[in-house]
Amino acid sequence: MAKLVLPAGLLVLLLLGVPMLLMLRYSFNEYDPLYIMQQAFTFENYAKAVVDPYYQKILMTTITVALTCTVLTTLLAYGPAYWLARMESRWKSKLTILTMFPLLVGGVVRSAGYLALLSTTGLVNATLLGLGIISEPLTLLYTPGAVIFATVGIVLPYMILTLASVIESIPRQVEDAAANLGARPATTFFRVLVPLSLPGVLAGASLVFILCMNAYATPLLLGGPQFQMMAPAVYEQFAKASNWPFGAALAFILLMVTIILTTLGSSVIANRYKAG
Amino acid sequence: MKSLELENVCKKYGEAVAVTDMSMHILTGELVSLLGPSGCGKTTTLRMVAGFVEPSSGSIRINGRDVTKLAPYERNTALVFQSYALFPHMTVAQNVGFGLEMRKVGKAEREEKSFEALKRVRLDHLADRYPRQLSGGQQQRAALARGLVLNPDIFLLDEPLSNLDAKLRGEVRSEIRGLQQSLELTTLMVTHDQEEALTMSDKLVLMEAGGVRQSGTAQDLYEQPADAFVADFVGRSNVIPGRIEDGQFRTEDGTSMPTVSGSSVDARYYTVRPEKITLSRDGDGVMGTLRERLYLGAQTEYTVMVGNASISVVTATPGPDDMRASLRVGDAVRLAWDAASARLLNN
Repeated sequence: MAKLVLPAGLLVLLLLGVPMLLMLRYSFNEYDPLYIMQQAFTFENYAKAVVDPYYQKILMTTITVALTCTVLTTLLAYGPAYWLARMESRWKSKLTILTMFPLLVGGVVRSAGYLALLSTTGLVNATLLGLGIISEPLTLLYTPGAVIFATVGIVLPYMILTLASVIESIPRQVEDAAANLGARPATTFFRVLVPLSLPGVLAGASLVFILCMNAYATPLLLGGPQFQMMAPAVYEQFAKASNWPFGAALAFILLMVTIILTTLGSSVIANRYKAG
Repeated sequence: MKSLELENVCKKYGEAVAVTDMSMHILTGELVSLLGPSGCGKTTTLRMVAGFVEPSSGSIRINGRDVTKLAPYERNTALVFQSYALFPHMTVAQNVGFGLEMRKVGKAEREEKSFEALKRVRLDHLADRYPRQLSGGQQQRAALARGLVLNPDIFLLDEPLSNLDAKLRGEVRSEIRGLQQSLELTTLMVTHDQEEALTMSDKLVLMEAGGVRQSGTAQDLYEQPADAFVADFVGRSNVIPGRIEDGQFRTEDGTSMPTVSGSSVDARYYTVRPEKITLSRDGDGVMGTLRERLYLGAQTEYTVMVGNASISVVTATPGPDDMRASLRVGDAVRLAWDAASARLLNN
């Protein structure tokens, strides 16, 4: 077993580290319309991405959408996660598998599902029209709302499963003890359950935030041409503009911002709770 | 005056009966134990008093007030959990202060009362520690302090000694009993350990299969068991089936047992405590064959076959000069006891 650790570690390093290092190197190269790039060491690509208001806006949109989705997902997931964690019947394992079920289908396919749900002729509009609640189809698709709605739907299982496993590790007697000492359910929730499940909330929120920051298919399919987020922008530079150095720089900005915000967010929330 | 009354309390889960027709009464300063094997309904009863389980029928009154439908946080009970259930993210002092905080007690008074309660259980020097930094015994004392700081109407103890090692158990037993008596805590304790129940309680309620088999003082249950189940569960007892013939109890294979005259003709079980029997190589008494000898240190336990019945005998371990010291498995022995120390039971 121990003998396998080193070769396995080297393989992982090779598979994960080398492409990253290559990208990092590319991000300092110079763009060349003819040969894609020229060997160089310039910060020009980074400077362009940071200074250009177009890319500033894309980054801000990405952060806003990711934060909104993370908060919404956490709020939406806690109840079902608690319910699942405290369930004692034989349905528990079946429901856990059911929660994982959407993960078997890729994000692209699920985004397409939301497309069918939200389009002018989709399920929501057809139902509302059929019931006579509206006379003209609502514009649901190609709005920031559509992207947030679909993204939350896609990342929800990750959050529920992460939270449920942490809540499961909190002894129920601790909640009972709070009630016995006179705490109403809401007090038990905020004073006992939330602080004790905080590691799960932070782990789940970090995971979801990272997934949202890097969302590709959902903003592309449901956001429409006017709605821009970072991952599609990176792809555009590589595939369409053939500007590899600039695409690589954008990718590294996305990576750094994600890392910084995730670390910062986790420590701020953890500290606030320690103080309170 | 504090009191707890249960009146015809029943709890059913679908078809399954957890507790049936449970009635009892605890008065100020009394410690009553619910004793019984696992699954007998004792924990369900405790949880109904605390408010975690709602009875299917019947009523629960605390200090005369009907609390049957009240939520746990609306009752003034203090439950010490078997697992202690301290809040792991709070210090010992914060744990003890939590209940007071819920009762809107001001910070200064809260701290003073918490400190007082911790002092009572000799934990005041560990007030700023977190539960995980305490030993099992200390955690339990913190859990006790968290309950008694509230001056609860009813103090509830769920298997208080089960998570402690044998050496600590005796110490904690007398500590809990001491606290309970000095503070006159009206207490309901749940235990499956008959020794714990016998030594700590003013009164015992022996439960089996959701119902009360017998209740009374430790002496009542030990000396006058109502049936074979009680005789066997409280202390140890040899329970031998058979019937009365010509005024004598005869086991199923016809061996006659010492019987006081005028015994109930309906008797179906003969019970005698292992420590009431004297064992000898050759003397008077019932004849039997030694099947097993267990050396327990100060005591020795013998298992003797009398016909088809297996009878346990517990005596002080014989000295080297004693005839019994050389007994071997398979040897013939004699068992003798006073007919008056045996009890005949109808069921």
